[in-house]
Amino acid sequence: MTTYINVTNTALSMTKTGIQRVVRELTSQLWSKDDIHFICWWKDNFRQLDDDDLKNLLAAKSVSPKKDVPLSAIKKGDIFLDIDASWGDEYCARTLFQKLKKNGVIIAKFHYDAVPILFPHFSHENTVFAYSENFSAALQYADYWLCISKTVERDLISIAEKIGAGIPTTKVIELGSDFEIKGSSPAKKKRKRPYLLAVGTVEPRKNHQLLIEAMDLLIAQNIDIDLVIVGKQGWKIEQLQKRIEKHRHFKKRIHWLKNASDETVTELYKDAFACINTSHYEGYGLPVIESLSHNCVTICSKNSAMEEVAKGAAYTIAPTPECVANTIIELQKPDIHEHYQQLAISFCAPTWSHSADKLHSLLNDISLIQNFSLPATQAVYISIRPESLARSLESVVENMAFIREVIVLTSEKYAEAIKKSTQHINLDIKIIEEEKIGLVALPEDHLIRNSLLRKTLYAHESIAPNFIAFDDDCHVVKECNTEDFVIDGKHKAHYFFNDGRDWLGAFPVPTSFDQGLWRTAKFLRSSGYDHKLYNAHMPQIINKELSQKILNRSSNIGVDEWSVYFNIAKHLHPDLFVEATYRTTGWPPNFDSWLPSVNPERVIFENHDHESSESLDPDAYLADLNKARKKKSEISPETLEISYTDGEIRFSGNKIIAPKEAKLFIRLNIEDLEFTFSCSFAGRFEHYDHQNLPRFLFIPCSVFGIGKNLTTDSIDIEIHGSQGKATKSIPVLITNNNE
Amino acid sequence: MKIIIKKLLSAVFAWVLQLTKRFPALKSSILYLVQTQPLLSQKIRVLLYRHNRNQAKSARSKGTPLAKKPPKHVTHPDYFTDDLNSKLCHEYGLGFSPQLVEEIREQKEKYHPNLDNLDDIEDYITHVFLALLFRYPSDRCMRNFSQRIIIENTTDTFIKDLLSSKEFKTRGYKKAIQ
Repeated sequence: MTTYINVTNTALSMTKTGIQRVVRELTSQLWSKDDIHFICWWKDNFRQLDDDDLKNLLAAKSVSPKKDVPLSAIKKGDIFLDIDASWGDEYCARTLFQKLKKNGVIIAKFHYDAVPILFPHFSHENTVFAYSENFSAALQYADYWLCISKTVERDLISIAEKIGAGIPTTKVIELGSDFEIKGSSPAKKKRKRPYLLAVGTVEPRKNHQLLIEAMDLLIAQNIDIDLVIVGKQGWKIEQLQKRIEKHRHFKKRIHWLKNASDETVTELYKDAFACINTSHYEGYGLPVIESLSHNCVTICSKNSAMEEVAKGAAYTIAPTPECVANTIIELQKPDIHEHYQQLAISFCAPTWSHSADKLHSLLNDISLIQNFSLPATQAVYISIRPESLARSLESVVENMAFIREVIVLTSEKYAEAIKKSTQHINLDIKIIEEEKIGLVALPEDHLIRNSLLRKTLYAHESIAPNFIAFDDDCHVVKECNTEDFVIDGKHKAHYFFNDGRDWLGAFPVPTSFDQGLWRTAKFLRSSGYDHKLYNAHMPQIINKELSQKILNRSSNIGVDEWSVYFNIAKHLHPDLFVEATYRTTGWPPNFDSWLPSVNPERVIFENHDHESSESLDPDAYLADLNKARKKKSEISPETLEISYTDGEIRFSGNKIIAPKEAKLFIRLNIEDLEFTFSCSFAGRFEHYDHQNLPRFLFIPCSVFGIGKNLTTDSIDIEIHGSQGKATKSIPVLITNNNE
Repeated sequence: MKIIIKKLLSAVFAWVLQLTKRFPALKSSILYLVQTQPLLSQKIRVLLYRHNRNQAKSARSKGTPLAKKPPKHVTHPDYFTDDLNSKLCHEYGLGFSPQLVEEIREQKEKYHPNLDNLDDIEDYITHVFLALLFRYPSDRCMRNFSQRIIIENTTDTFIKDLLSSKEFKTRGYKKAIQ
């Protein structure tokens, strides 16, 4: 596994502060690692930075990389780490991520903050645009987010939840701040009064306005203190600038040094009464660390990243003028000032070397799963059907000798009944009640509820590192071994449908289950993952650690947890999973509605509710499935699809030829947002609009007459869309199988 | 002086509009002139837009989310492509339409501004700038391009000019990645 770190923005910019400083510091620490390549977008291509380029990058000098790194060179299982301010780069991030994901590459995003989204008025409008494009592409495609503080992590998750994206998989990496403290400038004239120091560019986000208001209060109360602002003039501060420079105490009690040297700043820290930072928002709060590192008493806003990085060494306040004024008065008590001075002196700033080590180890951990190779001897169920569960467990005892232990999640209401119904089963059965693990007031949606139940259950301490997850309507009908789940150390992922987008659902009104499968396909496809369906109600092997990571990501969007788990797991760990077709009968229960895209192979399971009908004979089931496929193949064209694009209706063939017994499932693709759809055939008329149109038209051929010489009938379609009315008549020829 | 003349012309125009409501024959005559005299037609169009422009500007507030379209139905070919950027812009009121940006980049040309509506034209210009140059147009660009679109009654030349600009060639949108 190789990590490609994209440092384009830093390589092409001469800036030494902010994100570029972080990139340079981490690059200098990670330079020597063999498994890391630094790349840069250069003339329509990525190129690798060699040693000379890296030296230049660290010195903020121009680079000239030569070695091309085509995207195809970044292989399945490699990591692409977007560490820089890449919203300023020239390529389209969405296209880049899309292509990388298609290659099987794992995308990790280093996240500094989401200020342009959370506070667009604090950013330039062009930055808001570029940032939102980059950020939303990352929200879709990034497999991991490396956040610089818990505050930033929390805000990221909150944005993702708000817009219905999956919950990002995050890690926090504390940035280093072991910068060199410059020597102080030769002592100039000492300031007459003690002073508050505010270091940082003067821009709206930094909230200097509040400091001026606090100073007005302090001066009014005859408190003997000045304010020294150190920082260049930012943007959007015309009014504030006027207020500062026209203040009656400007240059007397309120000072603004726009071009102070490092030495001057050091000198100012040394003599400051306290350093204050009451920004509206900070992703990390480097000025606070800087101030503490200068042993300066430090004041910052409560509940911010600044408070987080200060680790208790700063005086935290609500950012109001009154609070600032009161705090200054409070700090004038010598013992309190001394206390915070001592906290500053004992503050230990995190180092860049520590940050880089943490980053490197996190990148390595991405490809590792603890205990993946441990055998799965535990069966895990979610059930509120005592009889079904008992029958399933009886079949496990009979045919799955390697299962030693069973975990059942049920509600308090059914716990006793389950205990009773399973007491004859010779397995170590542990029953967990939902209510006892915090699962109360479960969501109504089937898939959201199941995802929540499974995610919570799989996190439980009694769950083994690897286990077999069951549905209680599953029966083991033939002898089953560990090799049926694990082959050459790889977990088998059993699917029944190649592409979740092709799931047609119920006609004419799709069920919430159908809606959930479409959401699943949408979520997986939009995130650049494969989108097979794995929810065939057959037991599958699950890794506990991986399930926590993956199911957390999709727990809030109502998707099928089996399909999400396997599609994402095989992307993140291509070497640990192998695909296989499913191995159960009874899925589907009959062949009237849908057919799986692959046939089950070497059937050992049965998906069956014994309360409603007799057990299925696997051979008969497969024979019926093949018969249904044959019947379907007699329909021409093979794919039945009506599409509506650019105001025109198209059909996937010239006409439909089908036997009398056939049923037509004609898929609909309507590229319009508001429309009405009517179709008439064999004297019937159906009318829909964009809110209730089914996924497909269902027409049993028995409604048409059989033409002796293939006389034609037709399906007539009429669509009123944004581009007016369109009509199409599709001829239908019904053949008589007896002829 | 120029501003006074413009204001005066706008006032005259508004007065003429009122008159046409009272006297339909006057309206027919003006329409005849507009249709048969292209130069006059252009001048009237520019004048008309200048008159509306101030009203439009004052009624506008930057950052207002664009009108919400119905969500894509499962039968829509793009249903399975989640547009998080649109949701992000909508939820946080970022003031532009990523869908429109995407359509312009894809050159699907599904969106054409209503050339009788200055707001629409300005929105269109803004989105073309964002899509192709990653930036908002300056006031001057906006003024020049909107006037040109109004006079020419088409967006073709505007797009052509932007695509052949040095800025687009050096820093413009490039989708192709190897």
